[in-house]
Order: sequence, then C-alpha cells, then structure tokens
Amino acid sequence: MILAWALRIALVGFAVEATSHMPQYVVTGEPRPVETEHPITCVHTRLTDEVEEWKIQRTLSLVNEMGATTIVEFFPWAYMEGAAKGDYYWDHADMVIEHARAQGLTIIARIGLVPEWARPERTTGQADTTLNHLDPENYQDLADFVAVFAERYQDEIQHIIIWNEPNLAFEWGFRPVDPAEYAHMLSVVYPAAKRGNPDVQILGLALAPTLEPVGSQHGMNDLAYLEQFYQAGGGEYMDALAVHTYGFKFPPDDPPAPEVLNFRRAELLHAVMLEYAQAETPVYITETGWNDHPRWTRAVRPGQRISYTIDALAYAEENWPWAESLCIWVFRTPRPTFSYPDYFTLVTTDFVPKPIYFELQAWARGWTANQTNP
Amino acid sequence: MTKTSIRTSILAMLVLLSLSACTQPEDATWTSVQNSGVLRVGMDAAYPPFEVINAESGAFEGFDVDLALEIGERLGLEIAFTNISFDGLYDALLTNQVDVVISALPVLDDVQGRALFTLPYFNNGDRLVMPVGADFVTMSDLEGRTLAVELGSGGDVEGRLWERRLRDLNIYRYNTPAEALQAVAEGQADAALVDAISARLGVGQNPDLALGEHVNEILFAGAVHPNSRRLKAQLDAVLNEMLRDGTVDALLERWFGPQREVETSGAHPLARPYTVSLAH
Repeated sequence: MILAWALRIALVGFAVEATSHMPQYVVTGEPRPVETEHPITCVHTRLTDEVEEWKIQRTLSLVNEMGATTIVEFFPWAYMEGAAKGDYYWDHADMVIEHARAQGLTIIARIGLVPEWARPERTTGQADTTLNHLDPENYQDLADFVAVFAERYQDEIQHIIIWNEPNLAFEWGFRPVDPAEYAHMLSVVYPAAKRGNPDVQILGLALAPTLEPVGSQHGMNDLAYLEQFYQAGGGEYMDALAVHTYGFKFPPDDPPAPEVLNFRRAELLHAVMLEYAQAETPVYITETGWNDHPRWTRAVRPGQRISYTIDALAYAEENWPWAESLCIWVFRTPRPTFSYPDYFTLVTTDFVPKPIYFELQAWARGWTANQTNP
Repeated sequence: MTKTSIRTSILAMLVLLSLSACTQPEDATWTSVQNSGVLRVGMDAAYPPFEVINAESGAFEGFDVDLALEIGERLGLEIAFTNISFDGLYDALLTNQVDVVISALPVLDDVQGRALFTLPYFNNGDRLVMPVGADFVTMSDLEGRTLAVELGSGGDVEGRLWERRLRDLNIYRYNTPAEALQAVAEGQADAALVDAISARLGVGQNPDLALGEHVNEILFAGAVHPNSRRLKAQLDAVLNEMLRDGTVDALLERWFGPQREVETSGAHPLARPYTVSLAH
C-alpha cells in the first residue's frame, strides 16, 4: 500500500519536473501589415523588463491592431554587453525585434544604461556612480557597442536614439548637465554607428521638457540646452531630433510659450532648429501624452485624455510636416507602479485595453468613433 | 470531548495566545504614540470631500479628517495633521514623519513592504446609480437598457465588458461623472456607472437618485509603517467599531449628503449581498 502511494507520488513529481522547464511555445508567424489611415501613430512600448515571450508577442500584436506603425523601445546597453566588453547577450533583443517584425512595426531603438565595467571603479569614500554615468574616456565603449548593434540589426532597425533626456542630472549620471559634453559623446558614437549600418538614422537629444534654469543642480531648460548643443557643433552628429513633449493640464492646441510646458513646446524646439539651419532635419516625437490619474496635479479627466491625445495626433499630422512620428508614452508596463505613471498606459499590465486604446484604434483605422450619446 | 478536556483545550489556547502576544515584535511607533498622547496623521489635503484645507480658516476638513478625529477620541489621543503630497505619503511613513496615513489611500495588492493597511473603510469601486424606485440593481439587469458612463473611466471599462456579456446594452458616454448622473436624472439613461465618490455625491445632491450595486472594489484604508503591527491592531479595532455602530455611515451622510440605496425587497435576491457588503 505504502509502496503504491510512493510510486504514485514519484510519478506525479516526475511529471511536474519534466514539464516545468519546458519553454512556452510561441509561434512568431508570418509578418502582417499594419492597417492604418494615420501612419504618424506610434507608441512607446516597455518590453525591456518583460520576460515572457507571449507577453511580448501580445503587446506588439495589440500595437499592430491599434493601427500604430512604429514603436520606440529601450535596448539597454548594460543588458546586452553587461558582463564584459565584447561579451554580448542578444536573446531578449532578438525576441523583441523578431516579434516587432512579425507585426509589421518600425522600431526606433533607444540605447542607454551603462554596464558596470564601463563606469569608474568604486573608490573608498566616493559615492557609487549610477547606471547613467559614462565618463568621456568610455564614450568609445558606447560607440563600439552601437556599431555592433547597428550592424546586427541593420535589416530591422533604421533609427537609434542615443541616450535619454541628457538635460536632467539624474539621466546624466548626476554630473552637471552639459550640452557640449553630450555633443562630444555623439561625435564619437555617430561615425561608429554609420560604420555598423551606413543607413541608420541617429536620433539625438530626446530632452526632458523642463523649465529648470541654467545652473540648476537638477537639470537644464530644454530650449537652452538645444541652443547650446548646436553652438557646440552637435548638429553634425545626428540625423534627426528626438523630442519629448507632454500636454500636462493643457489641450493640444494650447499656444507655445517658453515659460509653459505643453504639447506645442515641440514647435519652440523646432524653431531653435531653424535658427541653426536644421530645417531639413526630421523630428521624431518619441514621447508624448496625457495622464488621467484621479489625484495627480498634472492629470486630466479620462475623457479629456482621450480627446487631447487624438487631437494631438491630428494636429501634428496637419501642422507639423517636419514630424515623422508621434509616439505615445506608454503602451503598457510589465508591472504596475501603483501610482500616477500607471495612468499613462493604453493597456493595463493584465492586457485589458483601456477605452483610450479603443478610441485611438477607431481614429487610426478610420472607424466610426465609439460614441452613441443621444 | 469531556468538559474537562474542553477546559484544558481553551486554557492551552489562551496560554498560547498570551505567549504569542508576548513575542510580538516591539512597535516603536505605537510606543511613541502612547508616550506622547499624539497620533500624527498624514494626508494630501487636496481631495474633497475626503480632505481639504479650508481656505478661510486654514483648518483640515473632510471625511478622513472627521474619521481621524473620531479615532483619536476613541483611543484617547490628540490628532496632529500633516499635509503631504500624495506621492510622498508612503515615504512619510517610512521616514517617521507621520504615524498613520489617512488620505483616501487605495489598498494595494503589492505595496512592496512599504506599509501595512488597516481595515478598509470606503469602497471607491464603480457603482451603479439609478432612479429611486427602479426595479433593477445589478449590471445583469441592464439587458435592453441604457447605461451612462464617463468616457475613459473605470465605469467605461466595465461598461465595455458588459456590452459583450449582454445582448442589448446601449452605452452613452459623457465627459464627466456628473454629466452621466445628470443623464439618469433627466431620463436619458436608465442607470449610470461611476466611481463611488461621484455616485454618493450625486445621490446626496439629488433625491431622485439611488445607489445600486458595486461592480468592483477600490478600497480605501489607513496605512502604517510595516513594523507598526500594534498600532494597526488598535486602529483596526476602532475602525471595526465605527463601521458597526454607524459612525462611518453618519460621516458619509455628513460629507456626501443623504444616502439612498435602491429598494430590493423580494424582487432581486442577488442585490442584497452587493448592497450590504463593503458598502463603505
């Protein structure tokens, strides 16, 4: 009797053990086109920390079905060359890119986060550096990586953003923000990227919209930063400008003004470009959107968020011939933050599309809006 | 089981309980509250009718303020309020700036060890509102009816789910919860599905409207430091008392206006569990 039970338990244990490590079977499938009437529609995905392949596939499938042609996705250098220089791990990036290709999506790859080996060694009494800290003597390490990345994905990725919001101290490794130094970084990375893929477009800056004055320890006003960047000659080392512009409490047609953070602040950045003879340089709005958290002071009502977002896309399409894409932050996150950032998403962590998803889908695909009021 | 063995078992349980009480970790916050006689309450006083600062007097006022004052009264403690932005409330607990947060704080499944939640005292999940005298109270009763929601809200999300569950549900979408409630009051829609705060305020201001079922839960509770188990136990006991003796209901009436639920006697046996459970 005891032996029989022991055998049964052993069999169950064996079955559980044998099946628990089996990879989930996900079929990528043949590429399918995006059906859209507004190709400017783009979303910023957040698949960096998404482990399960089916979730990556589901996310990108929903992006396709919404009618967005393009995604911005973060590819952290520290994840892909984290162990040592030249020691690459591509599995996750390969997976994301393969599924994006299958969904017919254009990828704008954002590269950042510095591996430990490329940061200064800890010394006693000194504060640790952050994952955003890269000293000038290591710019070549970043350039070497970007060259390898650009070459590896030359068939799938034609747009790479170098760094993120370098006008914020946090994003610049808590060093004093310095447009000339960022221009120096680009001057090292740009030729390397072109060696990896001569056709790749290097997007620069992706500045945070902020009113921080020059000299602030937290960051620098984005307009001032862009001016100083061009003055330092940085314009030679990028093919397009990446722009972050958020609406906060304002509707998308709120007029731009240097002392106001609103959606049309992008026009002020573009005016700086014109001042420095960059009229031919395209602009990619790689982050934009509104938030509908019930208590965040910079949030709007959910219905306003929907109409503002759609109106912003339509406005950019009609009035900004220089804007290639308008990418909404953020499509979905792998886990909730339990705070206001969750109210930027279009789809919940559990893959429940929010009403804004359906309304954007109806707009992008030219369907009748889901409004039936008397 | 004999009487003697029952007595022995009870005695053994009591001994075990008292031993476990003795081995509970020290709660420095509760000790400090007892020594000072002051309970420091943190809140983001920009969320009426739960908490605001009176523009003229500068005093804290609202549902949560009265709730905290009543807790203080029952525990024999003075209440000291601190105004803290919503995003800083958990950090205020962890850095010992306050003893408890009472600020319409939604209970989270995963608070990452940053707090312990007390008993919930309010459910801000989406709630049906219909005319007084309506002969339906649940979402499943909406077959062939019209539902008003705020565009993009949680009620809209639920409404879209129910559109697929029912054969004939027509949804009207409005820009604010107040507009959705007004549509019901004016007979343009059979019911509205809005967050419970809007639902209660709407019912409080319009005697022709009544509350129906909650369709989901967003529970509000107090929060204490993750090590403050004794303080949490004290707060839970008092909150439980206040929920049972009608104090919380009285505060709801005070800050939201007279509350009415749809009469359910006989006609809808499923309605009662929804209207009584977590009605607060």
